[in-house]
Amino acid sequence: MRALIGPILFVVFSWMFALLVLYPTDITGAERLRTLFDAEGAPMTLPIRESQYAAPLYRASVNSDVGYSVPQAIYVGFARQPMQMRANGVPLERISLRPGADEIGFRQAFLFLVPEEVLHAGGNTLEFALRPVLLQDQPAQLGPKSPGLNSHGLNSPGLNSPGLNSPGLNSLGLSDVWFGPRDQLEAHFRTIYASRVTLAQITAITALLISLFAALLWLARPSETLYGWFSLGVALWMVYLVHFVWYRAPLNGHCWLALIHIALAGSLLCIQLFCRQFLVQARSRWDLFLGIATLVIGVCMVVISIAFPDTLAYRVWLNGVLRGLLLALGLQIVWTLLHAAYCRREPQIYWLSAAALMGLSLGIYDSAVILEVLPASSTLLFHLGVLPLVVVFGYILLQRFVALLEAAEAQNVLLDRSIQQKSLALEREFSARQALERERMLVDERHRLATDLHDGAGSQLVSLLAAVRREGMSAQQMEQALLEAIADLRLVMDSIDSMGSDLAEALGQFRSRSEPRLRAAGLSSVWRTATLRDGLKLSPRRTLNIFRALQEALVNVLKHAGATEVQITARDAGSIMEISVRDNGMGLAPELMSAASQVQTTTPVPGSGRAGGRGLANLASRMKSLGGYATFSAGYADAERPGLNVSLYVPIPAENETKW
Amino acid sequence: MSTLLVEDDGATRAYLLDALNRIAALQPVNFAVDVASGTRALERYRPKLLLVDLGLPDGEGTQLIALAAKMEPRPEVLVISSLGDESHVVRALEAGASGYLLKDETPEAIGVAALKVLEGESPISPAIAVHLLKRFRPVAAPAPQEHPLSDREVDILKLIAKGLRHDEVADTLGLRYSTVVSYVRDIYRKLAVHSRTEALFEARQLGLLRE
Repeated sequence: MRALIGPILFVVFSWMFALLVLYPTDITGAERLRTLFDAEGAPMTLPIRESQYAAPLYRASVNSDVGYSVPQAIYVGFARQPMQMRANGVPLERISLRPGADEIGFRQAFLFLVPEEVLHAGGNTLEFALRPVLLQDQPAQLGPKSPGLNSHGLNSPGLNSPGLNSPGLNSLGLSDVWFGPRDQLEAHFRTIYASRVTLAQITAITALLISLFAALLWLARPSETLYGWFSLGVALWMVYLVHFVWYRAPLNGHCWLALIHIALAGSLLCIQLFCRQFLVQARSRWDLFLGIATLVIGVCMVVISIAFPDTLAYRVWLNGVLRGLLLALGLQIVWTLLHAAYCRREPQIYWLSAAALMGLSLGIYDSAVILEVLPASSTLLFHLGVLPLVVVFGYILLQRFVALLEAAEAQNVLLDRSIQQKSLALEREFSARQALERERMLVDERHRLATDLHDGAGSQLVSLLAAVRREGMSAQQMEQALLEAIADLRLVMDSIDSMGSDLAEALGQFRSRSEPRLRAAGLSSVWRTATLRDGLKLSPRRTLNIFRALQEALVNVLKHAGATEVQITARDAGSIMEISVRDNGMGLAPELMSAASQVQTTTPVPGSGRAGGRGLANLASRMKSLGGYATFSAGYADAERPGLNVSLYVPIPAENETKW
Repeated sequence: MSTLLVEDDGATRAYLLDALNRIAALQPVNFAVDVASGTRALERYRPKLLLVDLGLPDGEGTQLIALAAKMEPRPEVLVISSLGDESHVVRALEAGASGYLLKDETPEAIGVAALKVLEGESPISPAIAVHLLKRFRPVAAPAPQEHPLSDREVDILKLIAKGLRHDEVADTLGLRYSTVVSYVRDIYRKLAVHSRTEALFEARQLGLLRE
């Protein structure tokens, strides 16, 4: 289906051009005037070529034996001058192909309407004024205020402009003059109007829109210079087409004509650059040369058209140099494309070549018409050559656009897939790492439990066993030792249970364990631990260390202090927490006190004097391992029974500890 | 008034029997060694007090506790725990036990604990109070809150969790000692009911039960 689009378009365009070229020039029911006579009666055979000398005024006569029953008209198929006509001395109303274009010298066609009453049976005289100024010289006959003529510019300012009176305008060509019924000629004129004016106007608007569209695309993606060249090329071509839409020149008519053709040259240059870019070729020296030539010739043309308008030099430059340049540019494009098509054999290049060839042949055809090798009244076609070019360009750009979209989609799919794979891999890695972390935590926990049991209940049981084997232990001592082992086991269990609980709650649990033992030993205890702030959480490891330190302090009181009361107080202040155990026992010997106090730094207390130095040393080093310290001081200001105050200082971690 | 002791370890059983036999109010004291014999003994002697170990050779002590909870009149149940750790005790409380007893307590303490539970006073430790607070916390409960704790019960549990004794709790809150004691008993009952409701809820969720 896609492959058919190209050929179909090609056929359509060929048909269009063929119809325009082959459109019949004969008009049925009308009489073609072959010979005109000048003022001296010398005959002049039509067509009068542009290069030929032409008299300002010609006459012709038409005969009818019976007279004319329907309105008649005169159709002039080709003229370049703002001509006027009279029938039997009466000025005729004129309809122009391009009204208002008189002063520019565009190719014109005219329809002169002959009123019924002017013609009569027998011979009638028709006068052709190739220079309307001449008619104006005879105001009595012409009647400049005649309503039929005013609207068609007999008195328009252009008629008196110097350009029209200059000698260059003597030969402007005249051909295809028909006399016949007004209906037939008008119909023919309309067809000519449609093919020469309407079609050009549609083409101009189409080119403008497409150029704008491409320009917007280019603005959106400045890196795609292909769109830029395309847009600029079509826009310049549109400038060339403007004179089919807008007949009145904004400035000096000749200069305007020159500029229009220079715009065409610029357009061809852009198309050449487009082709280079499209074919991914470097610009050649020829491109540069033609670019400079366009610039130089353009400037020269402007200067000449202003300084020497309507002279032979102007004609030579316009029809010779400028057309030569256009031909060179066209040939360069065709050569570039044909060469690439031959080398690369890609369908897109074939179509570009076909469009360029079509343009070139239309240009050659037009040149033949303008140089009057072909009938001068033929319709010019080159300006329509932009249509196939635009279609092929547009098709190629669209294909590139679609290819780009498809590539982006494919890229997206690829990206999606790789992201999916990546995230899957990440997930797998994450869960593997999580499993590893769990495993590590389990190992840590097991290790901690084993250490705790080994250091606590385990070692107690082993030393108990050793003592029993040596038979150095009474049943009471053994009971005591077993109770201690069980108590330590409970501390381990409780520290595990305390996970997620506040420290106040953990200390509460510790109290519920210790209080019965203290009471059984005859010690009354006062606990002030419930005042610790809520939400203070420590890790089980830290909690167990605090438990053991407190245990050691209490055992010290139980075994060695000889106290009757013990107070356990917990306080927290910002980042540090203090737990103190104060008894009213005999207290430490002064030298021991100072030695014990130094434990907060490093050395363990030597175990002498009041026994229990070992336990207090353990306590101190335990605090140190938590990043805290312990202090030892007299409990009361009583010389007899000063007691002992053991204070544990433990830093509170910034974040609650939830791990081991 | 009769007592049933279910304990498989011979030494512990002898120690406990010895401690219980010192108290006249608990007589006669019978014993069983596993779930099967315990079940028979429960039906036969219909004791007022049941002391049961959780780990029995042919099953879980909780089976016996559940059985006892259905009996009329309902015996008081104390679970015998070696370490008094949260996981063991809570399991028994959920099955309907009224308290726990530590194996290493002195005979006097054991006797006192047995008498106290008969008077309606249940032992409770801070760790168990913490557990109960968590258990009844609305957000954590998967089952509909049919038996939520009252504000006063929460207050009491919070203080117990921080290690306060029943008398200290009573002082702090301006209650009588006996009021605190009955509150603790009520909380235990709620835990048992709550556990059953949860079990039902979960069974319904699993489609094991119809409405």
